Amino acid sequence: MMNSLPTKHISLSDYKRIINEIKDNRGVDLSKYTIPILKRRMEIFYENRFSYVSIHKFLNRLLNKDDIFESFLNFITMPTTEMFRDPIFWKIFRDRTIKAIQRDTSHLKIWVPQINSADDELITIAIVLYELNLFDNVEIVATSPFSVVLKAYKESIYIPQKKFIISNDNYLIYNDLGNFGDYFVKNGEYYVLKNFLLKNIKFEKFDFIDDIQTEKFNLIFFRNRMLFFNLELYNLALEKVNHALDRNGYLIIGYNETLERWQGSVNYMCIEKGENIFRKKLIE
Amino acid sequence: MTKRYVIIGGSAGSFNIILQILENLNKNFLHPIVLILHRLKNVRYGFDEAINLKSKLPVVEPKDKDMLHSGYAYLAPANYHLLFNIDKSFVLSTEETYNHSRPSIDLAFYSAAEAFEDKAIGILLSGANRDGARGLYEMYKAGGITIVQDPEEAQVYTMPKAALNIFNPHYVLTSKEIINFIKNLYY
Repeated sequence: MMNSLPTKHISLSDYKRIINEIKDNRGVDLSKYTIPILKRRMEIFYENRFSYVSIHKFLNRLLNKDDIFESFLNFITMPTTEMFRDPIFWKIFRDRTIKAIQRDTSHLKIWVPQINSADDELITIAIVLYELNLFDNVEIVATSPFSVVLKAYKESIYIPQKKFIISNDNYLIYNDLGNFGDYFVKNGEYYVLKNFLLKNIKFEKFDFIDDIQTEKFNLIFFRNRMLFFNLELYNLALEKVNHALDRNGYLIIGYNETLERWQGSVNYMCIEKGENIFRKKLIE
Repeated sequence: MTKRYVIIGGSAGSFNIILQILENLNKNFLHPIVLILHRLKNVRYGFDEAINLKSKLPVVEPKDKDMLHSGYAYLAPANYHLLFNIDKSFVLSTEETYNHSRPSIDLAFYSAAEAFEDKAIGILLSGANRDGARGLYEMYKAGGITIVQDPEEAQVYTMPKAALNIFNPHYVLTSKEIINFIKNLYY
């Protein structure tokens, strides 16, 4: 399903009713996600799949048909970009950040929260670590609040050709000696990710709204995830990220995100200003 | 006076008129200006500085969840869609490109229609693709004021013409008339 401009609108009151019914009947809380993104994606899904039925019937199908609900969740939670987005960031991460972390610890443990079902950032991290020969010595935990997203990783990950081409262009800026195509097998209009890149990654269900992360990490990759959170979830998520990050650990957020709205930001020091790579201070 | 939200979309051939608009507004201008311009995705620096050289309003690239304020012109950051919340804050998004663009003018206009309704003013300038046309129509339907640069005058007429093929906006104006229209929002 392509990103497009919906012609069928869902009113704000219908949108809220759908979100509430999903929460009550499916136990999935979408109320703290950014409305302008989520609502438009809901409208696109509705228009593409159910434009011939009323909103009421659309809601009934979301509540009663598991396959439709899974496909809905997968679509609305797929606000995605491409692999090696911001190639200069990845160069800095490879050449400076990883080395800095290795000076502190020989055991790298990374958390990538809030993944989607073909997560570009997660795949990029795996490729970067593989090319650094670190892949077998790193623990990666990737989490999503949605079981359907995690289920996707039990099967093959298909990358559409358009995304592959953009990602390949990014990759060549990152590493002009490498071959991005080595990590995929072409299958018709798609590129299938080679399984070995996911073998060391632990996939777990984790919801910032309800769950507590009991493990500790020395690096948390959180680039561009909070764009899809409202302010309440932004604060909640950062508290939980903070709790899960070792003292002196590293937190990476997107270039146009900020920690400043969160009161815990005083405990973080930006070590790569242009790239929003932060280090947790020793004393909280 | 009612605060309005002026959303300007432009691509190839729109840079000079953007500079002229910002040169002609003073620091007390009440209505936040938002610029959705097609730009190189991997070049993050320099564009706002270049516009700031001429602009009388400070031009800033908003961070996610920043509020819109009077007295500023906001420039959509490279490689992010720029959207609006009903609480008048910015929402950035890394969703797929739309019309081969990120930021997409269509997505920004669509979102402005929902967030600002009849307080929105949408202006579509010169450009080489169809981005912005459908979004501007959504603003029109939501009660906002819609303006298209006269295709006869636009350096690249594709974008203004695409809008005129869909609907009749409130105004079709030359660049000089667009500047005057915005300046007169004072009164």
